[in-house]
Amino acid sequence: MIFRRELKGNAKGLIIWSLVLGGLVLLMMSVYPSFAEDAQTLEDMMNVFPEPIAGVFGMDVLKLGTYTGFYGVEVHLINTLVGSVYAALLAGGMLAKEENDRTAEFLLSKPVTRESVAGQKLAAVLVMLFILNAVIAAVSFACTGFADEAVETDILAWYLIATFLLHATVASVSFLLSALMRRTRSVASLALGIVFLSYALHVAAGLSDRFAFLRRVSLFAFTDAAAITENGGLAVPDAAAMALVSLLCVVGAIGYYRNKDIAG
Amino acid sequence: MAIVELDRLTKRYGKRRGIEEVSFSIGEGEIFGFIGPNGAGKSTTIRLLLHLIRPTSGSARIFGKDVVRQSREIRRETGYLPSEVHYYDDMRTADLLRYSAGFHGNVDEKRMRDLAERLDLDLSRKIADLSFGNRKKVGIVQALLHRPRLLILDEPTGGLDPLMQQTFFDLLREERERGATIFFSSHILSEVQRMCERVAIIREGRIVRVESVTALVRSSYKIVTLTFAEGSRPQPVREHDLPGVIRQDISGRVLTLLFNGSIRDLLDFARQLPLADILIGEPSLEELFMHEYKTDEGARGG
Repeated sequence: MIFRRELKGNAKGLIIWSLVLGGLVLLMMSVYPSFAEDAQTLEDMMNVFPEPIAGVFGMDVLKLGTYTGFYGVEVHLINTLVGSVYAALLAGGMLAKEENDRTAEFLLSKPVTRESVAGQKLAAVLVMLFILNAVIAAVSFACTGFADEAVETDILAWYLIATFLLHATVASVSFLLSALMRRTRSVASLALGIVFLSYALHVAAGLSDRFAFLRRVSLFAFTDAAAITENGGLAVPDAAAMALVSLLCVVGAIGYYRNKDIAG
Repeated sequence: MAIVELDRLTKRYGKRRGIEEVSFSIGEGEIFGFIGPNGAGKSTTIRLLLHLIRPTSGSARIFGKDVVRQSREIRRETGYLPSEVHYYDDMRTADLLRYSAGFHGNVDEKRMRDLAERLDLDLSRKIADLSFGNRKKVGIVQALLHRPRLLILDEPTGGLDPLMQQTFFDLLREERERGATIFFSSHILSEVQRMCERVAIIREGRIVRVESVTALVRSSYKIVTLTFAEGSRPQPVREHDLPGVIRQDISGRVLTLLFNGSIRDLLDFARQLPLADILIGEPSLEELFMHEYKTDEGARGG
């Protein structure tokens, strides 16, 4: 019941975000062929950038002249960051909006447990994020048609998996906030704050080895395109840490929501 | 068997007052009133029964089931109308009602249309476009639709015009004939007096008394209206002239007493006065209530 209602109620938003993100991927990657043609000139030009700056964008590892390199520098950032904004807003609203709009009194007086309410809403969030990522993946793979060379599809797949995991983690953190707080506006600002701060820490960590420890506290750490390309996949400890963070947030959210006093 | 049973149910919110050791029970098929001014703890009590909030101490059972541990089973057979009705603005009335009934099993489309027709509610309107009164009607249909065994109504008549209130009370009587138990909070005494057999009076989070409405009205309290003859002026009644005067009020030639002493004393006292008219009647719940609330002694005495 609640699961279906959430999917239906959020369908419009999902379609818009999917179109925007899918469209951006398409737009960016449509430029790729002209880049690939002048790959060498481009590489020379890029070498002009001071190394730390290039490092931030992963351009010391990623080659703009390859599909996955170009994707990693130009598109992956948009997918992770913009998608995280969507995940934060969507998951952050889930539980808090019922209290904010005072519909919780209606919903929770129905014969349904709090665990089920939270579980169904979380499931709806994950399904919608999966759909968004499926759209991104479909466009990203379709765009490999722009490339003349053999594309490293496994690297591309790892980017996409990392993106989905990041969105799920951001959603879990925001869902916890949604359970703890009552005002959608405060949840949204805090969740977005976490996303942007986390991204800023990730950038800072890339700037210098002295700040490398900041990777430990950034949700974006394991999505780094350069690292994925270098490792040929996800860094297992990072991914496991993110999964653990997500799990703890979800358990915390449901545990807290079970016993929460609903504001009248 | 008691359908609703509260045992020293307590909710404290830090400094803000909740309810303190509230106990009473409601029998099957009863229409039970819950009266008190705004902020006395009526909604807090109701929200505890539905497990929207958790008790600090004490317990409550509905259908013999614990309101904290077996809340879902309780809510399956309960219809709840909150004092302030808020629904999803993007839904149409019929969609909201189907969504609501869906939690209870199948939707009885016919009953939904019948109830909507009697309350003059347009099912195709969007919730966002409904007036306060119409939202309340959606709330009423929503509470009744699945034929609950227990109806919990928090200030149900607010926002309904008198004609609709009549329809609403008719619906409640039909629900009661069907066998439903009705728990009904209000700060309007006349409607409680009209509908309920028994009432619990709550004040500052504590139950002042639980009594049958007839007993409450028929308790030894009388309203005595003494109209003095032309040319004479009523004097305030002193305790040794007539014991048992709870409250008195003089207005022109009319002396009004709220009285719970002996009728014999009253008649002896009245015989000595230059009276043009005398009226001895039962006080309305309103008048009694004013008394419960104004005098601390009366409040503790119940």
